[in-house]
Amino acid sequence: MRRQVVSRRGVARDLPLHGGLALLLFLTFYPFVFLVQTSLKDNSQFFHNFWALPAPVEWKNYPQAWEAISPYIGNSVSVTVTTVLGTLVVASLSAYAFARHRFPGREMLFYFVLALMMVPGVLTLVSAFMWMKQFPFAGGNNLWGEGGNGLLNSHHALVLPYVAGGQVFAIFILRSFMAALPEELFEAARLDGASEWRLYAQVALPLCRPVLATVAVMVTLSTWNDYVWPLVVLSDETQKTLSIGLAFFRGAYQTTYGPLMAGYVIASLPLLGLFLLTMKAFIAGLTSGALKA
Amino acid sequence: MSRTPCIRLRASTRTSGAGPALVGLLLLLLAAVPGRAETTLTVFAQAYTPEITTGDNPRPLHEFTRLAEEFERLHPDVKVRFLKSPVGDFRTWMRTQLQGGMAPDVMWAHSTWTNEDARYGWFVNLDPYLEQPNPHCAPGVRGRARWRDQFYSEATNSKRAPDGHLYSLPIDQVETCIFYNQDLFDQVGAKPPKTWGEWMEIHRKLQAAGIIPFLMTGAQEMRLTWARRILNDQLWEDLVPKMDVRTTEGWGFPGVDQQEFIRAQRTGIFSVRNPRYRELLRLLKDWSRYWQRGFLAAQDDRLFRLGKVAMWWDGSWYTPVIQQDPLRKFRFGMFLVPPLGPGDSRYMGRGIARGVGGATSIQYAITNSAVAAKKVELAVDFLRFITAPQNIQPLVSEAGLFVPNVVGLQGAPTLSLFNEVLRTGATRFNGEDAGPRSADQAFRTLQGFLGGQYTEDETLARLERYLTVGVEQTLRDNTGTWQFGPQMEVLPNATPAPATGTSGPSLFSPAAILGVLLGLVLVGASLALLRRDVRRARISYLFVLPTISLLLLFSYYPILSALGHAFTEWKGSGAAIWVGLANFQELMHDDVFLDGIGNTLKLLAAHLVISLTAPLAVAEMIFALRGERSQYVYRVLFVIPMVVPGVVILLIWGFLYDDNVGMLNQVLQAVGLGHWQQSWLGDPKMALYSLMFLGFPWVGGFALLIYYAGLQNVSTDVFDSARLDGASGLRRFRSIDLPLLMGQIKLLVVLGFIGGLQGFQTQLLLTNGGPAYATMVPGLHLYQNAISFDRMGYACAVGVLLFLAILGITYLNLKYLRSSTEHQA
Repeated sequence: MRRQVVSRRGVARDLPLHGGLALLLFLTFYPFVFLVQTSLKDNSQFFHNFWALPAPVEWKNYPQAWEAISPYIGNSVSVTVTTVLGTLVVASLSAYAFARHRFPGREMLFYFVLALMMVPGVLTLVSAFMWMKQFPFAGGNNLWGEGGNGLLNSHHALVLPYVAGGQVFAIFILRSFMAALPEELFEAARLDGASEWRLYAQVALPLCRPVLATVAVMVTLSTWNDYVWPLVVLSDETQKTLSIGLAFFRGAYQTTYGPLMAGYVIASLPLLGLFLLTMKAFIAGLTSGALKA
Repeated sequence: MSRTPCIRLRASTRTSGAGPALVGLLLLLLAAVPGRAETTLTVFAQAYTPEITTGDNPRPLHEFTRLAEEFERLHPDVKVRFLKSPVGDFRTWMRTQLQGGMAPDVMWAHSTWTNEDARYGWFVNLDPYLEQPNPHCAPGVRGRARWRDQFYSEATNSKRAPDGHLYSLPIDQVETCIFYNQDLFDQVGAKPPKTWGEWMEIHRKLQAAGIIPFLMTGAQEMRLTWARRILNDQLWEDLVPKMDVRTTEGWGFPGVDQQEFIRAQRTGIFSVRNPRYRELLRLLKDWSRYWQRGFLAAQDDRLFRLGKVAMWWDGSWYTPVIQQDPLRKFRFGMFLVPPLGPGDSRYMGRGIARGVGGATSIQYAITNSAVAAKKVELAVDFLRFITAPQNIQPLVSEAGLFVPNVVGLQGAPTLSLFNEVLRTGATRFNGEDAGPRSADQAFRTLQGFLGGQYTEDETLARLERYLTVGVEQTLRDNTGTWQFGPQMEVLPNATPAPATGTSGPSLFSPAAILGVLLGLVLVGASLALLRRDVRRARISYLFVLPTISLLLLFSYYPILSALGHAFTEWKGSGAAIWVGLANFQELMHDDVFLDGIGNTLKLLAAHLVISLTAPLAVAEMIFALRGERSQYVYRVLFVIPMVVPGVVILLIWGFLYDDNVGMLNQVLQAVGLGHWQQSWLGDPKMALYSLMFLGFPWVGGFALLIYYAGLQNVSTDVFDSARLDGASGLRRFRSIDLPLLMGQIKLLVVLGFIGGLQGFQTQLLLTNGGPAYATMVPGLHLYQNAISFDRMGYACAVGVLLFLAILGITYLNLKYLRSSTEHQA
């Protein structure tokens, strides 16, 4: 029953908290405000009145940005959704095993997975690209990776490496949370005759909802904003993703900041929607009921 | 304006009207009926790409569309398709596409890159074609008899590769000039100067009148390099004939190319110890007194636009920008950098200041894709067609950024000033020329000198050391191409290998990967057969199977390749030469790497403390709120800034930290603490601390969510009983929350280490690791070696060391940072 009923006196007691949070929020939130206000300026205003509100307001940045990125939004959505779902499934499965099971080679396998996070991407890019190109039996390739373009120019070239690479971070976080769950819950379910699959799906996963939501947010952000990898593996206009469309506003000699920021704002709208949704996963008291069982 | 059927079809399907689509379909059928095989020529035109809005061309260009349609009429079975690709990370894009045989047939590529990559056979040598006539030139017009006669030969020839051939054809030229604020000039009665001395006098007058004379972007290599080139060209003028020894009838370049420079360095004609070098340093140091405060951190033209600085040095592309700035409140003028006059230096040249631009903007190369698809002749004809005077003139003028590299033509009327430099030509001696790494080192050393970090002697010592290494590296890179006689005479080059198809990765092949994968599967299977405990745990293996297979299939090959190449000398493409531990030995003496470790440890320590505590405080505050609703609202609001791209945040901080108009210094001034003002990013002693402070109040969304999720997992019972015991506030935090959150803290510590040791984005965008090496970190060092210096093998060695360090730290963290809540199965 904690926190459900809010009395008037309670709100008053929270006032200092609200004050502190509001101040921190203002400072943390400012970049977003800046993004929105700059998205309504032309370059001249950007340089002359960096902090000021736009005057006049350049609404036309939005149609311009929309034109640049709208052909690619569908691709970005489909790639991101597939990547996030794939990552969550694959990562939660192995995180569960790493956290709650004991099996020969567990530590070794875990470090084998974790080590992936520690090699800087810039070193692996060219060979990863060639591997996509020479992927056997894909895109007209034979067993030896010859004859076609492999996985290049398809969304597989994005999603599969994203899931493969992104799961590492996800496993690391999920494992830590799953390891912290009280063993009694699992014992109780085992006594009821639950299989390992049910323990995973019906005990561990629901208890990890907040952290699953966090992982989903992080994977979405990194997939949605990734630029270099889609740039090199996709050459077909119909396959490209949104970050490539945005990059055109950065020229070799000049950057048009207004439309670029407008593009960032448009690109962030689906993410904001996602945040509203996922933040509901953090509902207090959700775990308390289960823990008391 | 008639369009070809295919284009009409494409246009009509996009508008998705049924009628036009049907017409289009019919036209397509008509076009298809004769059964002609259609060839598509793909072109990446960079700044001239038509029908697209970019930063360089806010209004889409159309001229190339028209030319392509005309070209298609000449070749009825050919379609020209313009590839749209952004220029960000272009070098990486270019390298992968060429290596994979996926590049466009004709592509923009800077000659420094094509000259580097020509050794892999990725580009077509254009010389034989340039010797032939250009049939698209009207009779009697230059080029009709021989294509190459069309172009400014000096500018074009200076773009030749080490093997002496031309791989990318410059179609335009760019030049730089000083843009000046005429109102400020009038205030002190200044006129565009004729000599360097007059120019310095103007600087002095402006400064005396309280005006900042000159805006220098010392955080970037570009303008300091321009300054060195333009001065070196004059200071060494009398020695150029001794250095420029190559004679290649009509094809030569009246200046010092790289091979000639290397010879000059090796034979002592050029030396950093030559008094001319001290003279260069003196001239630069004297001039730098008139640059704005904190010039080592400046990156853009803002102060000039705001009317706070009198002069700004930029390229012809800046003309439309400043002209069309509606908020500009001053009249502006342009003049060319004046030459050294009689009283300015003992070593003054002939009283001419040559240009520093030249044919460095838009250059087109024919790639291995065209070779593989037998389209070279077609691509050549395309280049001939677009460079014919009647075509190149409107193409280059429409964009208004550059002037055509074709003799007798003029650029847009706004660029008329630059026609003069086209006649004088570009600099003939630029100073040191020993590869990209040596150039970067020289730039940073100069930063250190101008910023007062290094004395003149220390500067020269450093420059000499770096140059010696750079020359050796360059000689190694060009063995087999360059020929020297016994007395270092420059001999004619070996003939290059003709352009070929693709070249695969050198150490590992898909076949090898498949073999390894198969082996691992076999090991797993036999373990399962032999060991009972393995068999019993098969359900656990099933859980991790998807993870392991994905990693094996998609991640391990690139990583093994990176680890393997740490023991080779490798440029990222082509052959990798096994060198054993040589890269690691070099690392142990690489002061950039060693200094970088110190910087990264300081940054990491600060970052860990900050990023662990600030989000925790906020998470606790939100959690302490009564009411689901307000908690939800704060959660969402604190997470929203995560959608703001990192570049935007760095942009804001860059402006906050600005020396002259930045908010931080202005606030300090306003509250009477003017003496606390700093050159936040430009002062080598301050820059690292400024980077630490960046991001205040450091409430990272990710850490906040992790803490919050952790707090949520703490049983309500624990809180309730704590409250009954009278534990509240800080005591509850210390005795209950903190121990229970150890799991989360441990997680964030490990992730913080991984990110912190690899990270370099902030440095890359804000300080470039400078001034000098003040904010250099191993991550940036690795990135520079991999991307800018073409030293992939060395970069891999840095990567391996980072990998081992992170792995070790992570192991220790996980082993010894025990959390009380963790379930130990």
